[in-house]
Amino acid sequence: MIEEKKKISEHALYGAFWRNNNFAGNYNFERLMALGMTQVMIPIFRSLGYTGEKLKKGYERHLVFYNTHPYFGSLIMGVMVAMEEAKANDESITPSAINDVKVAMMGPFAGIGDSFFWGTIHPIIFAIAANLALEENFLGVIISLLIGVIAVLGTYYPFFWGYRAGVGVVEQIRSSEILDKFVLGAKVVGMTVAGVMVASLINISTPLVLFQTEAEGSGVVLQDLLDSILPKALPLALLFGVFFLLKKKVSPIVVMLILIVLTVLFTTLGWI
Amino acid sequence: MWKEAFYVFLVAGGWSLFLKTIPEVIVILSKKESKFAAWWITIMRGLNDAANYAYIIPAALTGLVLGDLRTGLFIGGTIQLMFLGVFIVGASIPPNPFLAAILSTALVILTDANAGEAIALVVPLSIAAQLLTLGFMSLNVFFVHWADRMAANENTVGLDLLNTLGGTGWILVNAIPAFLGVALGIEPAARLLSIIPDWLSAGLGATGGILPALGFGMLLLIIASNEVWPFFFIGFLAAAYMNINAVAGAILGVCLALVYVRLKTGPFKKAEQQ
Repeated sequence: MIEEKKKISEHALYGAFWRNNNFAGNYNFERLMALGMTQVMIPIFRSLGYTGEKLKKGYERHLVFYNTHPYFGSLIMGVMVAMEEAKANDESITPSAINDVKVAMMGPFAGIGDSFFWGTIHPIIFAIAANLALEENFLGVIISLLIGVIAVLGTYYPFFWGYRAGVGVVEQIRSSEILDKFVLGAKVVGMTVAGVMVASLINISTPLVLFQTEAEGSGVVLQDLLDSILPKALPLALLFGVFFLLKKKVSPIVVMLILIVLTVLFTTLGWI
Repeated sequence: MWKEAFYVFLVAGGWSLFLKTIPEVIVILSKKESKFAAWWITIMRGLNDAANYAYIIPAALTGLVLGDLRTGLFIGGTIQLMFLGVFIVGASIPPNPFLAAILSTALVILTDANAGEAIALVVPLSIAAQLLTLGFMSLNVFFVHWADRMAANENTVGLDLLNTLGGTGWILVNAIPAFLGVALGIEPAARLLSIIPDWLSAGLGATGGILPALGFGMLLLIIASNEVWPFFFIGFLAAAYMNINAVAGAILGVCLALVYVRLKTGPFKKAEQQ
């Protein structure tokens, strides 16, 4: 008797796809996105006809620590769905093999997702939108909605790519170097735009006049002096001060408080 | 202020109770999956993400429902720049200005506070929102243990609902304080601002131009490496001397990326290796 190969129905696949949106529904300190991952499996197990002990074991193996990038992580969800389908047909795939793949992928994928989506794409959109909004232009809101378009496409494509390619996705990524190129390119864009934004969006200048005497027009306007050396030198210096502190593992909250105290102090003294 | 507070509740995420949570619960209870429902819910998630990350949207919508869109846009844009580059990395939760964007917009529109004074409230409110997030993450530990018991009892619908309503809970973590803030907090906040001395509120207002440095610093911590630092300075010099904006910067960056990646990995490199 030939047993028919078990396959996940298309509807169940879409059921997993929308549940993937709730990846952080139960974001918690103990296991982070564990329940989010488990919920994705609900229509999958239903479609594979799991009941009883099989279903319990299925939920158990996904209710474990899981944390990755919200968008790019859907690729891992897709791979997990593919692995569950494979496991339904081949009992030799162990729960620990499934978990190993998950653990191996979540760290690097979080890194790629953070630098690509959070570090590059979002700041570019925000900078453009904020400049429009400051001019009280409603286009600022329209541009901001691109974040939503990216959220939808950035989960749809990785999820179905992950499902189709299965575990092979890791090998695909490694051999084609496509992702490496993509991330490097995104970093170049991100760094260029960060440079532009540091010069154009950090707003700090000084009204100080040095060596002023009684005579009219005497003294050296410090800002003019700075501008003749390097325009926007103060924003750049401020950025490197902050970057240095963050590199020294000073908590961002502390840096924020330092910045606020210094800003109030210098504004009151009339230095900036 | 209750009517205003209700409108603000809706724009602070309350809308998604109707457009996202209800469809989700219907799909879960009926146990019938469909492509249409999947796409609908995903698109609603996209809108929700846009509002959660792009603080211009909640600020502008608050301005719209309270009758002053321009103020909303201005405050949203200011806050967006202050927090650009501040995001969740790993499991560390940063201050979140979503609530601040809504409440400072409401404060300016509903009282005679000016935008500079309202910006002074952004940082304390963002830290308060961060504490709410941390609190909800602690509460969720209890729920994940409940999920363990549901899994052992094969309670599929229970698991499905628990995580979905947890997602709704994250929305309420924003929407309920926004509602209460507008209903009860506007007058006390306005009184608080009126006793803050001028020098302090002027100083706090000036942080709007300074705090982007923190966001950029955090951003660089993520993406900077020796290999890509030169591109930062190219962008910086282009903007410092030629005053190019972010759009031009993005185009410049894409050009540099295409050239650099091709030089590094493309046909030239391959020819060299042969």
